[in-house]
Amino acid sequence: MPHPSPYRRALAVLVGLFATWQLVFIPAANLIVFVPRRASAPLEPASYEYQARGTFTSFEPLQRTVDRAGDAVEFWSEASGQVQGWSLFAPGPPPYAVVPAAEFQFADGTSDTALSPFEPADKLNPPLRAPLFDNRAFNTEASLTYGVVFAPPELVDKAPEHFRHLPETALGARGPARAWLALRLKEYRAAHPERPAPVAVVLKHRYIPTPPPGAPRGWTLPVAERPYARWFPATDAYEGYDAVEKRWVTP
Amino acid sequence: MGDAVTEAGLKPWFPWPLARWRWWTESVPAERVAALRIVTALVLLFDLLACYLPHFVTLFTADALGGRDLYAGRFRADHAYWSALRALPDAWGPQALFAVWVAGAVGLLVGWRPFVCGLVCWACAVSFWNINPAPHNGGDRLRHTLFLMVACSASGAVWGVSSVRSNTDPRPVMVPGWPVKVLFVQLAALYLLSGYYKAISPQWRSGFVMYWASHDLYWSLYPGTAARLPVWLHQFSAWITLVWELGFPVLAVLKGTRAATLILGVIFHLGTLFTLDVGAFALYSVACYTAFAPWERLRRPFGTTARRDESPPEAT
Repeated sequence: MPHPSPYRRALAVLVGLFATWQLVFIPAANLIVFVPRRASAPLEPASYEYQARGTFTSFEPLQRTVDRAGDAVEFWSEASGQVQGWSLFAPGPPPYAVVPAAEFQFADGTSDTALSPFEPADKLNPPLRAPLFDNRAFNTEASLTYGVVFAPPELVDKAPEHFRHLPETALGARGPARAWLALRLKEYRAAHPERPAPVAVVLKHRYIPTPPPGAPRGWTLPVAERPYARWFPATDAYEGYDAVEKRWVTP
Repeated sequence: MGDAVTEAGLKPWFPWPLARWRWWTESVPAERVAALRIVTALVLLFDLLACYLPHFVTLFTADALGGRDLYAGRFRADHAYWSALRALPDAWGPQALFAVWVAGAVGLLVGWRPFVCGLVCWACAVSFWNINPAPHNGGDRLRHTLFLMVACSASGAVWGVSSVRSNTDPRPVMVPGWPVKVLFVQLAALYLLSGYYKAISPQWRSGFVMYWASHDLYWSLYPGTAARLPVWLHQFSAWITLVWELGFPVLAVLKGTRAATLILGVIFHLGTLFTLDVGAFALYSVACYTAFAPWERLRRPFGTTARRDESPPEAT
């Protein structure tokens, strides 16, 4: 058998090292979240809810080694798009659905609400929805609910100390929330040319209770609504809603 | 005596002790990675043409829900996120890169330079994922690993335009198996961690989670129908999922339980596809499973087969 060329040998080493790194990287990226560490940069949402923060030892060289290892894993996660952090519907959906809606507020004090296209109009017999085809649009809209899924109005009122970060979340979502509100406004104005331009457009969340096991059929329990962000089209100003203090806040 | 099999693809050098680990170093029949490439390409083409394209203008143009600066914070210096779309003008960049992506997927499908096409698909996927993460979910993170492994898997050795041109050798073709093993490790980590988080959730342990998920008016694709199913069925499916996820890393390796575990995995993903709005997550996951099936059984009987003393590699 002929000897491989130095070029091919070098390539074999490179591929072997890459394969080895992939083999190590995947378990490491999934397990390092359990080891308290000090991240060198703010973590992105995908890993942030899982990563244990802080230190696990007072032996600084060991802690620093783990911190750097975490940084390396995080670098490759982000650079290669292989961000880990898997839970697949854990801890589980709450006993209500959270659906975004756009409320258009007019100068004369009236308002109108555009419900999500993914919220069934028939709450007694909601129809089947086809998989896949509209999922990209669904994901986009659903991403506006992630920060508040486990913050229903009654829980915020009961334990406000856990929800003081909500306005910060809303203000941080300015780009996508404003873009979504602008798009909904564009659609609304095309559908209702007779209406004047609204002075403000509000992104609100509708908490639709799921009937508990054994309850009569239908999603007929009262829906709770709470504003999340407000956009003023004329000035492009944007505010977040403080659900604890019940007031609007600006950055 | 000549070799009974043909080895294709670059045999990597592994450091000790990996070099001595047979599971990691063994070759796999080329049909397995070829099938992985073809199914991945089909899923990707479906995703691109049926899921992305109808919403493309809305999702990726600056005057709708896209634009290079919508998630500008993601590209700050202390992170490694990147996107080719940051270097292309908003006016035509997304359309041009999307066309490149489709071309890459077609290249993968027909087996034309699968290494290059796989990397192109990966680069395009990461670029679109980073420039606007909102339309994406965990399945899109999984597909990045999938595309990388397809690119590295010598998947053009058979069942592709490159292999057809040199199809004068009837011997079975074997290729390095490590990309298939990486995919297995990825799935095992995904299920094990998900299983762990489920196991510490009271909702999952009680089994009622599937009731709430299937009745969730926003996420469920069939809430009206789910209301007609008995509660115990929802609970049972939750418990099966929990046990299967936690057990996957072991059950998918043991000979006696491997096939059932993998089949249950495909059923699980297809089940979520039609019941919850998880989109292409299910399709990309099922595509990963392609590499674990014995596609070499479809090999044309040229009269020459693998040596009898050479046992077939494990699916996982």
